[in-house]
Amino acid sequence: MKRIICYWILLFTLHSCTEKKLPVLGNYSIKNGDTIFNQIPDFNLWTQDSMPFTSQMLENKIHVAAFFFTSCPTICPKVMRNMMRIEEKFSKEKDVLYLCYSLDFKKDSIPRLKEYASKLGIENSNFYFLQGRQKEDIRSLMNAYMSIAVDDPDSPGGINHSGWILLIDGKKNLRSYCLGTDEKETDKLIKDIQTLLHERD
Amino acid sequence: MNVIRFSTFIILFISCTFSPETYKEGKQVYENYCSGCHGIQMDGLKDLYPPLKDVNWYEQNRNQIPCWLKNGITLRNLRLGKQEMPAHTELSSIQICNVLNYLNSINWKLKSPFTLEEINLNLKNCSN
Repeated sequence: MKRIICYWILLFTLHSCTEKKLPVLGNYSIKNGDTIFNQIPDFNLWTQDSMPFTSQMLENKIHVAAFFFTSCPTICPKVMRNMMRIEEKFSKEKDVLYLCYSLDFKKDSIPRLKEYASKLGIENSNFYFLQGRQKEDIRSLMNAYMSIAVDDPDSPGGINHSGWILLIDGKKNLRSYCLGTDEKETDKLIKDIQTLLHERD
Repeated sequence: MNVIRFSTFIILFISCTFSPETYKEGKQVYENYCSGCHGIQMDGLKDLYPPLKDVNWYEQNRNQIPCWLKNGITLRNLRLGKQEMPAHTELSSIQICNVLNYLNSINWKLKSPFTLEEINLNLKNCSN
């Protein structure tokens, strides 16, 4: 009996020592006995500085992503405010990237993204505003980010889209997300980023 | 008939200028239409969206502000380096009056509140 109690105590202490891990989110499939998790697909995009940005650059980094467009009058300014709050918290972490994918292929040229970034006073070289060569380059990524966008002339700015801020790990798996318009939710995501950074150590 | 018209005008005029309810609607309009970009604290967002606190900024642009709220600021008539602003054509002149008086009560603290007449006159003379 004593042995069993000791065993249980040991188990509990061990359990409390193990660190909290974030789940992997999204649909998964099983192939040959291995679980294939939802993963950000390969892509080739361009940054606000006209530099190529490929999905390879996400490997072994953590990235925080949001979908936006520069003339978006409703949710994007709030999402951007919270993205910048996150960046302030982790500005010294070299392995955290910030990706803002533009949904407005027509208006958001690279110079326009550059201007937007400089007006926001973005200095962190890990903070990217991304545009594709075709509209589909970015729209095709949204499924993996569990986000949607629909061109809708009746909605403010012409594009109706979700306002999540998403957290992706170094294997390009989605690990957490929050409503990017909400300050308190963003605070929770900040905690999740800390958890994910610990996981890597 | 004229009496009714006249009294509605007076009621609107009074509700726009003196009633404390003014700021309630103004606050609501601010939160629904303006706070997304200009912030709940009205402090703007870096160089992208201007803060609405500065009385000098307000005085320089007083006559144009109602037009900006109603028609927005398009890239075409934009001063260099500024962000465009969306139009809010659905805002009535009363709502515009109320939101400006709300902003005034918090930020600019000018003694003379906006009147509906002034707003209507400004809206008539909008350039775009």
